[in-house]
Amino acid sequence: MRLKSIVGLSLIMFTTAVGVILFVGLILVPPTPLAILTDPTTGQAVNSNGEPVDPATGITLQPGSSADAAVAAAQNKAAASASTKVVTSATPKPGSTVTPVPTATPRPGTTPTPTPIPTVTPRPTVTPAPTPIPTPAPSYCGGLSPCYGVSTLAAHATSGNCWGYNINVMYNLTGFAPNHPNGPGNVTSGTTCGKNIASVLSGGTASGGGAHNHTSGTKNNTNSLFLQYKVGYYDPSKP
Amino acid sequence: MYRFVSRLGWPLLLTLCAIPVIRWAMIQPLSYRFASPVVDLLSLGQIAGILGLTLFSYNLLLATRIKLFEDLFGGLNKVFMAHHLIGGTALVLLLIHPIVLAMRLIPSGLRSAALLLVPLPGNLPVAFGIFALAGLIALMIVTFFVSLPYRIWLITHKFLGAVFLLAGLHVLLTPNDLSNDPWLKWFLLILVGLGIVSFIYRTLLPNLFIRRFEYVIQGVLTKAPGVVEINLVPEKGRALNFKAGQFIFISFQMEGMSREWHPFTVSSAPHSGEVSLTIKSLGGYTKTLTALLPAMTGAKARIEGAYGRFSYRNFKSPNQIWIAGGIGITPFLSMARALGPAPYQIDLYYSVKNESELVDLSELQAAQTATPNQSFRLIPFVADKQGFLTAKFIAETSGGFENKDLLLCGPPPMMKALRQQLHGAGVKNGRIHSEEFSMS
Repeated sequence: MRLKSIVGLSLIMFTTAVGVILFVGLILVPPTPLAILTDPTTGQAVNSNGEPVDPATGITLQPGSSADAAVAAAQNKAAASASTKVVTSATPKPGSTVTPVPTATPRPGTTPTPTPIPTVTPRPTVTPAPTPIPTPAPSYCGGLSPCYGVSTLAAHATSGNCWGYNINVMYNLTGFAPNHPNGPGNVTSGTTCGKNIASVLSGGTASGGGAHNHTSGTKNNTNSLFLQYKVGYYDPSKP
Repeated sequence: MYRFVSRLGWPLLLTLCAIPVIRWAMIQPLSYRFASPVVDLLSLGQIAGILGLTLFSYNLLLATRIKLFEDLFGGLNKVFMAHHLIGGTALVLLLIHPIVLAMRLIPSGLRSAALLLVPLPGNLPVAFGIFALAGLIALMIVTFFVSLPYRIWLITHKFLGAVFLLAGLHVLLTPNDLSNDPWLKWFLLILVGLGIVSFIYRTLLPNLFIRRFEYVIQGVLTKAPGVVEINLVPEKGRALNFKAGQFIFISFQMEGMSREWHPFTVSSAPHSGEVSLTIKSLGGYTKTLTALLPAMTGAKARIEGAYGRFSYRNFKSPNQIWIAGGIGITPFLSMARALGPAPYQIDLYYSVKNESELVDLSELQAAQTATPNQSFRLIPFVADKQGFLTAKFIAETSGGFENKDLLLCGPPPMMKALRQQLHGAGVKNGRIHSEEFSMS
C-alpha cells in the first residue's frame, strides 16, 4: 500500500531529524551562560533576565532579595569568617600549656593622680599649589567601537530605517526583520525602532503583537543570527 | 442530481482546507511570509500545522459515517478511503510542522532549535503540541503498522480524542498570527469543536447517538464451498430499512466470536422483512464466522446501517450492466431479488473461477425467466473455461455501452483491469460505479 509506505518513511525521517537536532543541540552544544550585567538604575548585579545575581558567581539570588540582601549576605559571610577566627584563637592547641595572666590589683591607700594632657598647637597647614590636571576626553561604550549615542539612535526610529539596542549592542532591525525566526511582522515597530528592545526580547508585547520571551542567547547578545545585524555599541551617556 | 452531488466531496474538502490557508496569507503580505529562508521555513511550518489540524478535524467528522458524507463522496466505502488518505496526509503534515519550525531556529543557535522539540514547563502551548504529536504518532503506528486485535485497537483509537484536544489547545494558545487574528482563531476553534463533537458522537458514546437494530439468527445455509448465507430476523419488530445493494455493520453477540463490527452487503431484498448476508470465508474473522455459524442458530446480533450508494436505483439509466466477480455477487443478489416489473434492461455478468462457486444460480435463472422481454439477463462466466471476463466480451454480448450505467463489484485486481478496459472502450468514469471495500 502506497500510503502506508509514505507514512512509514515520514515517521522514520521524522524520528531521525528529531534525534539529530536533539543530540546536536542538547548534548554537543553547551548551554549559553547568562551574562552578568549591572542594572543602570540600582547599580546592582543582574543577569540578562533581569534577575538579581551574586556579582562574583552569577548565581541567581532568591526571589524578593535585593541589593540590600546581597550586601547582608556579604556581611553575614564576613561575620561568619570572623567568628570562626575567634573560635580558633580561643581553642588551645593540643600540647601547649596556657599560663593565666595575673590581674593587677591597686595598692591600698594610694590614689592615682591623673597626669595633665598637654595641649598641642596645630601646625600651620601647607596648601599645595594646584597643578593643572588635563581632563581626559570622555570615553563611551567602555572603549568599544563603533559607539553610537542618543542622537544616532533617534535618527533610526522609522520602520524603514530601524535600529534598536539591547544592553549595549546596537542592531539594525530593518536588516534583521526578514530573517526573524518568527516572521518580520513585528520586528520594526514603535516599541523597537530607536528604542531599548530588552523588554520586548523578554516577552514585552511588541506593538505588532506576539509577546515572546526570547532565548537567553538572544537576550545576552550571543545569538549568532541576530549578531549578523549588529552595527556597533550603544552608550546612553553619549550625546 | 445524485451524480453531481456525489462528486462534491473532494472539491468541498479541498476548499474547506484552503480557507484557513488563504486567510493566513491575507494577515500579512506574502513578501513578509517568504522574505528569507528562515521565514520561509516558518511559513511552511505554519501551513503544515494549520492544514494538519484542519484535516485531522475533517477526518473525525468523516468518521461519524453521517449520511451527508455518503452523499458527497458517493458511498461509505469512498468516505472510508478518503478518511484513510486524509489521516495519512494529516500525519505527514503534522510531522513536517515541528521539524521545519525547529530548523528555522538553527541559524540562531542549535540549542534553541533543540529546545523547541522538548516540552518545557515554561512553554505550555508548545508542550501541548509535543504531547499531542507524540500521542498521534504512537496511535498511528498502532493503526498502520501493528496488527492488534480489533477490540484493543478500538481502545487505543479512543485516545485520539485526547490527542486532538491537546492539539487544539496548542493551536489556540500558541502566541502567533493565528491567535492574534480573530477570524482565523474562530475558524480553528469551530473546527476543533466539530472534531471533538464528532469524536464524542462516534467513538465515546455511540450507543447513545447511533441507532442499532437487534436481530436474531434464524437459519444458516451453506451455499457453496466456504460460502454461507445467514438469515436474520428482527428481535423486537424494529426492522432495518435498506435499499437493494446497500451494506450494514454487524456485531455478533455470541460465544467464541468477537463483538467487533464488520461490514457485509445485504443479499436479501428489502421487502422480504429479513436480512440475509452471504459470507465467504476469506480468512481471519470470516473464517471463524463461517466455521462457527452452522451451530449458531438463535444467537443474537446487532446491526447498524444501512450504508452505501451502490444500488441500481441510484443511477440514471434504466439500461445497466452489472458485473460481479466471485462473492461480489451479494449486492446484485439483493438487486435482482428487488427488481420486480420495472422498466429496466439489465445484463448481469457473473464471473467465477469454477462452476462450484456460483451462488444462488438457480434463483437468478428463475428471476431471468420471470421477467418479461429479457429485461433481466444472467450471463454466468467461468474463468477456468472461458479465461478472464473482458470489456470486449461484454460489449459484444450486451450490445455496446452507449447510455448504460455499469456497476462493478468484485476482487480489486479484476475491477482494476475491467475499469481500464472500459476506459479504453470509451466508457466515461462517471458511468462506471464500483464498490471497493477493503477494510484495513
